[in-house]
Amino acid sequence: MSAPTQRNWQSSQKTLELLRTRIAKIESRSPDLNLAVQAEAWRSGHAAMDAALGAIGFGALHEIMPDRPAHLPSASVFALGLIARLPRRGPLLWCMSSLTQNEHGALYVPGVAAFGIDPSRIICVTVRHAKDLNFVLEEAARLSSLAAIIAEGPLPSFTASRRLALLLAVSQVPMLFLPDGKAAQGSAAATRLVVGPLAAAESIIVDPVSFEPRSVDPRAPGPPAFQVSLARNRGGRPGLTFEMVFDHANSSFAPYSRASSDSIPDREFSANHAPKWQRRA
Amino acid sequence: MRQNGNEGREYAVFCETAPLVLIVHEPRGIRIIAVNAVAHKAGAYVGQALNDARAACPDLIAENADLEADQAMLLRLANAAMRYTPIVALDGEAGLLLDITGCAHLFGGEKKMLEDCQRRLAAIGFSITLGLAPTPLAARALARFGSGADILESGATDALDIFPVEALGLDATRNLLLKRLGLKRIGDVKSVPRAALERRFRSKQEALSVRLALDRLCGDVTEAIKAIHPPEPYRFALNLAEPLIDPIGVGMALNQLLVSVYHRLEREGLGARAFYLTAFRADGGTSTIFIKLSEPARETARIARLFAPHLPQIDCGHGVDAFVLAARFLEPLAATQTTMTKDDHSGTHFCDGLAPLIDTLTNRLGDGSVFALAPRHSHVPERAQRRISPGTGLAEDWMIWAETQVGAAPRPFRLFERAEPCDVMASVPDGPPVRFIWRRVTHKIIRATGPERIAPEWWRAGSEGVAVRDYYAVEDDAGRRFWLYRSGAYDAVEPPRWYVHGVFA
Repeated sequence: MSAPTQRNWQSSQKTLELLRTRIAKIESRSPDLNLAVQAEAWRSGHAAMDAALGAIGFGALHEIMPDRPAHLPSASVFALGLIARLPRRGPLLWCMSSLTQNEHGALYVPGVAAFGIDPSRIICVTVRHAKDLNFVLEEAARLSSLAAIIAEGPLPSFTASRRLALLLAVSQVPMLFLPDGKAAQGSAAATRLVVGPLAAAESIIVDPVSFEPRSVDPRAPGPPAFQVSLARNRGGRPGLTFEMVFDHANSSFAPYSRASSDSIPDREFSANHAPKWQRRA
Repeated sequence: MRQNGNEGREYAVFCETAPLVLIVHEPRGIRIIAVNAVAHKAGAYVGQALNDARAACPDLIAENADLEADQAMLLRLANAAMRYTPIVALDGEAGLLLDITGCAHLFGGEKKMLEDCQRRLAAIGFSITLGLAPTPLAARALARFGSGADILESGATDALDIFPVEALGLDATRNLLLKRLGLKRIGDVKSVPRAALERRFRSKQEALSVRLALDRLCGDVTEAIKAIHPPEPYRFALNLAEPLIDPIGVGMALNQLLVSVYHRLEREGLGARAFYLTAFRADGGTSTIFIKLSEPARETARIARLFAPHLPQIDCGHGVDAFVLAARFLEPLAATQTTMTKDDHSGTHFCDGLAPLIDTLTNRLGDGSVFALAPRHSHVPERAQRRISPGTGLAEDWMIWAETQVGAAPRPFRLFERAEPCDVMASVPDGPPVRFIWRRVTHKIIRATGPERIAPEWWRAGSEGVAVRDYYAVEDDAGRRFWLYRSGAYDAVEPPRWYVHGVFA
């Protein structure tokens, strides 16, 4: 299992893609977007969560719910981390309501680039009314050439989310929905992850190559850390809670440890062998 | 051609039977600017003082003229006249000039066209006089001084010789002078030698203007008319035999027009980025809807799909009897390979791409709602990205940008459009903040880095007086990460202010 190298933009893959885009531009047609690679499964990289959650489904609706309304930025960083690991190429549609933009800030691409996501893939949609959001999502969900859809706004009704789930199942596009703090209601989502921020105190990231603990400046804010509960997990066991950090260097989620003396986690372990401290049910 | 605010059938009948004039208040008294037929018969005329007219006709009814409404009405009529030709101009306060070159045959000839025009305007309550001539000035003369539906063949301008000199469209002083010279008709002016005429006027310019008017009348000097809408080179009209009331029919008419647009654009290897559909109602009204595209296109299905949600906005009223579809912002568009089994202009092959989605969303949500973000080489955070329309290749721009960012301080991924003020307590004046209150919530800071000093761009206008910012990335005890900055220094006259500019997590 090699670490994804999406951070390296100048890889040969990237150059090829760039050439394709350029040729498409010369031929004045839209670039061929149906080449999304789906051979790999979409996993968070956090072994214990992946064991409980399995691969994240492509053609499905996933809710990433902030544990408190004010924590939406944290949930969206978590979504960004998942997108960084998405083994699909093509444009990312980021749909924000003007409310979430005013409340939590608009998307700032220089920060997105730090996650190893090519900023040129991002297409932003600003929506003023909730009914427009539904329209946008339904239109987008039909389009199989999108890599993923990320939506922020009021949670759609059960019927609307069911419609979305059916459309996504046909187009095989994943959708990450970040509800802006409304109470949970009936939903056709395949998974619901409740995400909250964690203080990055004492966090140590382990280098996967050298297995050396890579220390960070103890006075500086650490990499984003999350507490993630599986509130809904279709086809798996819900109710588990995990703590994790996003490791920018490997663009992967990594276990979160409070004490620096914790053993070096083995990247290949399965759920059965996962240490107890990683499973917080 | 006057209409006042009061409407209603009874009032209209009353206006036809009673002597009515429209007046304006001028510094030198109340003056009449329009009269109806009854008042005219009673002796009132345009330009007369109201008191003089009252003396001749005591039961004269005077109403204040609403000049703005008149002008608006004239503009509405001009828009409605676009059904005949793309080039329509306003002529004074109560006239329209139509360049119908090459258009008359669409209406069955010039005579039929004039009849159609007369019939339509009469049906909605206007009394008009028409004139059709090879030059704008001759047409104007015919309409104002002719029988009301005259057609002047080209080369037959001698027929205008019997018209009064007012038909030349000169100002009042020149008309008066010509009359004093005994030149009452256009033919008289023509017969005077140029040099002889010049001696009669005060200046050469004045004499020249008379000659120029004659030349314009006869077509020796071409006169351009200033169209209200610049003519569209790609404009397709559809005249319906029967007025259309059913909105479904609008879609069918649109499809028919789109097919003709498609064939023309395909032949010339072009695509358009905007389409405007105008419906002409039988009652003289018009309504226009438009769509815009993120890239040039001509596929009928794709354009029709974008128009579909807007079609109900077309007001069919008492029936629509003509449609015009205009294609604007044309760009070269090469032919693309399509499936062999389908109609070549069905456009289905295209729906796999991103452009139709962007178009659908943009047309629904409005301009600027769908965008991509491009880098800008600026160190001021809010200027480092700019919104552009999606679909343009940005990958290279961002690659170049990324190379400049090696080793740069981290940036938040959400940025407030306007930095939000907050109250900050710092342990030492120039040190990092210890706690801050933002949106009435106190955040205790456990970690911070900074400051990263960002100075305003002094080379840009408006940067004078903008304070230097010191940015801190901070983390509170709940694990939330913010990007704060201090604007100004502690030793300055004004105390520094703190803002929350972005959110890391």
